[in-house]
Amino acid sequence: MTRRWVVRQALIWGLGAVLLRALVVPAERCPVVDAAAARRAVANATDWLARNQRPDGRFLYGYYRSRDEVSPLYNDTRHAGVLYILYRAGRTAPGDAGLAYVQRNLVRHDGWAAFAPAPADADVGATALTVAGLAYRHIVARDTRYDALARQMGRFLVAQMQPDGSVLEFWRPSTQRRVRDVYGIFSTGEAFYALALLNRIFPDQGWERPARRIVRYLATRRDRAEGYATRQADHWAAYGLAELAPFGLTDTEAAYARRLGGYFGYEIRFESQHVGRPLNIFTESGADLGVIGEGESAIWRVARQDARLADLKDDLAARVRCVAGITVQRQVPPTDPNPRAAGAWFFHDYTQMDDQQHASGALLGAAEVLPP
Amino acid sequence: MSFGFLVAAFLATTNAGRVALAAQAARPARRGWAIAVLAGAALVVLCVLVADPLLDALSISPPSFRLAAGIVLLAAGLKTLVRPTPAPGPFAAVLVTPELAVAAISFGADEPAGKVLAAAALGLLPILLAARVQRPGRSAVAARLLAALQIVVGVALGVNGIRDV
Repeated sequence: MTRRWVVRQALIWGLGAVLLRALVVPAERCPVVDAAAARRAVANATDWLARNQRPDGRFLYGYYRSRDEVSPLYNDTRHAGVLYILYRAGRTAPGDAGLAYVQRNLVRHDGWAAFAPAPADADVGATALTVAGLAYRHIVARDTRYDALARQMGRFLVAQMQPDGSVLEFWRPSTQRRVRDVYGIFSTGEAFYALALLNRIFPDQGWERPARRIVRYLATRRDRAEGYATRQADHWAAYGLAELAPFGLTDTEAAYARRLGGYFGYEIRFESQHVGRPLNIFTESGADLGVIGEGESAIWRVARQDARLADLKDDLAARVRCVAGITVQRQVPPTDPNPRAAGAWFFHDYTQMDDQQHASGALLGAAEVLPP
Repeated sequence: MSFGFLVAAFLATTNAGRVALAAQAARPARRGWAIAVLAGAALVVLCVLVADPLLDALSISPPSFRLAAGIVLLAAGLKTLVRPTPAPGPFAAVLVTPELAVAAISFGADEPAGKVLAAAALGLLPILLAARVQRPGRSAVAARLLAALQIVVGVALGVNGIRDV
């Protein structure tokens, strides 16, 4: 009996440990990078965006490397997202060329302006990210020439808000009305971030209250109200919380920030468990990696400013460094002879402009955490 | 984690009801009881002390290990719920179980050692009561109740491991 028991125990402990190791807790691998490497990666990515920009100010939307084929699609919200990252990275010239495209496609109504290439509806997401870009142009380039436009676009975002803090995604030029009962998965968070940025550069001009109303909705009602089965890991909301933190967060906002830090932290841990594995089926695009890095670095900035999250600061920093290392490692080197590949992130041999946008956002956020 | 949660976890993973069933089958002498309790205590102390260096060596973050511990507690709890009587084996090793080990490692990595060991000591106390129980029916009910508690603890650990940074 003893021998049978010993064999049985060995099987339970041994097989159990092997299965757990293989399926639940493989080693978490985080390539080490420093802030200089992160900044170089951002420079290479923004070079890709600028180098492949079209004469009309739009960007290369997507590229299939194996077929050497450019995607015929385009997306205005992603255009605005690229504007945002170019201004945030200090690439004013290609940003201004992209902004010119926005300015040629504005719709104006009731004192506000929105980004809406005809015949499309005015879109909260595209307008919000343009506002975010203009805010960073103000901050980084120290140039106030587009402040008026930023305020006008901010007024569109406020006009799309409902009393409970939810934000209708579209306004239809043909009816001159908001489109009812349509909400974007990201546009509410984007609106929050844009308004929080407007509050940062124009404090005491009335942007804080609508921003707080949106984030209360995001923190307490959005997921159920808009029919999501799970809570959304909203990196734009994380960005917005980082902008509001210097003005003081409510308990609800701080709790929301903690929750978001946990979501992004879990996703980074999961990603780090699959680094370098030959049969990895869980590879992520540059945008996927970027989004979790953006979110986590934003919550790290909140934790640096809010004592209620101070206990998370070190772990958040570890996660940010980890995903930064993974992100830098996966970028195509700038020495690649293909100008549509150098500096990009590919997923199943395809890259899209928001891969470069989000990855750059994550690395810009990580640069504050990484060793110099 | 609260001290109460740690105590509940150790109560569940030591499972005095299951130990009582094993004792009713093996009828150990007093010396056998002492060895069993010492072996369980030694397992907990060892796991708590090696938790940090072990997880570092294996490149596992504490929240990730918490998820793994939750899964082990859940699986072992379900098994005990269905079949509360432990498989035949040396009574001295009745407390040397995977669920006790992973709980001790997980808590050892997250909390001060003194806090964890104090909770474990409280969790082991009901084992002394198990020596007096001679009724298999009641022991099986106790084993199943503690297995249900272990399942709850396991789920809580797993969820916490996912939600933590």
